[in-house]
Amino acid sequence: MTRTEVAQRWRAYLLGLGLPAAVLAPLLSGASDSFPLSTYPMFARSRGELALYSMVAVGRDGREERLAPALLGTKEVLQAKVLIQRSVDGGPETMAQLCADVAGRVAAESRAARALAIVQRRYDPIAYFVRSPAPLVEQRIFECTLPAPPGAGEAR
Amino acid sequence: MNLLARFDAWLLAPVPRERLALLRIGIGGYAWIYLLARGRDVLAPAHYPASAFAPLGIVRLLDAPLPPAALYALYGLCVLFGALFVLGAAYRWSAPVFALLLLWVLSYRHSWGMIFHTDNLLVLHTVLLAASPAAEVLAWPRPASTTPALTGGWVVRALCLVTCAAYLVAGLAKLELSGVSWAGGDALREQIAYDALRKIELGSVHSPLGPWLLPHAWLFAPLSSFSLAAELLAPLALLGGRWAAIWCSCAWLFHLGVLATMAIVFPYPLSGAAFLAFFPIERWFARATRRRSD
Repeated sequence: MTRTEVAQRWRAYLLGLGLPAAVLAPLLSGASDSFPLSTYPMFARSRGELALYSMVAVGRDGREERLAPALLGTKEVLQAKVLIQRSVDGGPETMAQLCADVAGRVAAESRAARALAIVQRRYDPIAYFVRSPAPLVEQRIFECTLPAPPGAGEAR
Repeated sequence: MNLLARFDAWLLAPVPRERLALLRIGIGGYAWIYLLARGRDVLAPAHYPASAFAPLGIVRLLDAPLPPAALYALYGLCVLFGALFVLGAAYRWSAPVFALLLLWVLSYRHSWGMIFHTDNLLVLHTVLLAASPAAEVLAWPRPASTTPALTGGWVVRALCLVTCAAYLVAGLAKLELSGVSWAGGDALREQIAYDALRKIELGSVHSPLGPWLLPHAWLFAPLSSFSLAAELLAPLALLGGRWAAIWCSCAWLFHLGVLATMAIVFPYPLSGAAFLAFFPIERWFARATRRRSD
């Protein structure tokens, strides 16, 4: 066997078995989920109640309208959830920061909104679809007022 | 022949060099199109607040988010090297650079508190192909044909092993976290309800099929059993031939089911690119080109 063939054989074993072994490794090592080596925890356990923070636009009549992820600065729903969750975990300062970031986009889209709010709701997910969509618990945990739209208060 | 020698023969058995080249074009082409199609999402972290930065994998090298310009530059380079990868141009160095850039760019995208499990296999497959002689034919500029017709088959076996290992881990995770009762269907039913409700609450698109199925609780035991079996029995695909075809079809159907009930897209397996290594694709290619020239 030539030196090149030996080197090729080593590479084949190292990568050809090493990478599949690395994919299996989180099972044995108990490592947390990562990328690209994952523990693939999605769908793996019962989820129980859903406690969710969402961001809503509050209209001048008091009605709430949920904000689409794009207004939070992402196209992805799960990323939007994480952005809101992290701002809540960070306390009033980070919630105020998120509010300020989103306010400009909302104000540009809607003149009907008066404020933004972060709302916590707790649900039984199956009951939501099978019996009633009412949340088990609902509370506003943060609110910020939107800047007045340009021209507001001038045309009288 | 003892077991070790048989394994050695299986792992190292050469394959036609066209197969590796077609895997390069198929998987690399998918990665390149995916990068372009998801460009907005890949670049979105440029506008995320630094407080949301949660580096993982290779991105743990960073203490703070990249400046937006650096993210744009890395993405641009990744697209450029992706094109070279697909073409097979300067492959010996362009392919490892592309694999590293793809790993970085996608790891960075996942470093904001939410890991999307749709990209793992794509990155692992690209890393393996980058270490292989996958541009000896069907490349531009046309390479000098000094190499033999057969080449390192270990890459093909490694692609299949990595694919099977990923599905096996997903199946074993279910057994570890929920036990065999996962096959009973309650966990899947809750997951579908949870996912749909979360999307409704966050103002995103959800699948109408999932919620429509929820009142029919009996349906979820067979669906769960099928999903779990598709994951745990993935190693059977390594037997090749019909076994591989059956398993790939089941895995594909599993992803189709996830799409239909939860509107979660696993584009890499759904496109079929994730399963190419299980098949003699050079024969399909030869047949297709012959038919075209007739």
